[in-house]
Amino acid sequence: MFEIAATDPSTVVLSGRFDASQAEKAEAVLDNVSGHTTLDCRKLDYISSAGIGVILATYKRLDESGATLSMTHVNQHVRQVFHYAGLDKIIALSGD
Amino acid sequence: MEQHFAKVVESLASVGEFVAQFAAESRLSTELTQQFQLAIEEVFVNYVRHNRESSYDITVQLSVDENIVRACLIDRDVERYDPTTRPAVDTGRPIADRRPGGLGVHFIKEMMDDFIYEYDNRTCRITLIKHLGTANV
Repeated sequence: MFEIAATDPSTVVLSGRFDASQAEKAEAVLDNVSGHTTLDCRKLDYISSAGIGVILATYKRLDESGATLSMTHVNQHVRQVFHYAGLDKIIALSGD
Repeated sequence: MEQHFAKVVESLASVGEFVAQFAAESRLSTELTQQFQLAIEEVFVNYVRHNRESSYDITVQLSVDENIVRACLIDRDVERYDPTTRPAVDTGRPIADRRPGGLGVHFIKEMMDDFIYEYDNRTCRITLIKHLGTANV
């Protein structure tokens, strides 16, 4: 079960399992964020390359407008996936 | 353990539950379980997206023996398409040059010890292998 919701204008909460079947659901939310944005990942258990792709596209779109995208409460699995993607040096990740 | 799944991305939640059940019964570590979850999803999605000509279920076989964990995904009545030969992704490229996509095979190669493609009689078989250290079980 994957859930994604904007809890305020600058924060989006992700939870559950962000696999390829959930990419469109995530895009529907993330395509509408603007300005400095934080992804709260405290309940995000799992992410695959499809999820990484959605987040990378959002990061690039915000970056082009001068805004930032950061991720908080990132667990070890999600951090490892971002590391293998070479994105942990680009997108600000913080743990618990 | 073996199970068959409809060839659609909506099957991924069920695939994940199947892998979790196998990992729990085999007492695999959390890290190893998540690595297999990811690698298996990437192969499954590869089959869904590249082998569109057939609608046979995808078979997932999981086993552990002699400190080797194997996952085998079988896709039937398809053309040859070998993802193991895809060129490596340059994850050090500047962000402006990065494009979404292409990371799935890269993740598999990073996380698995072996990533084997076989094709025979219009059947594609991809095997993922991880050799266990004692810390993983």
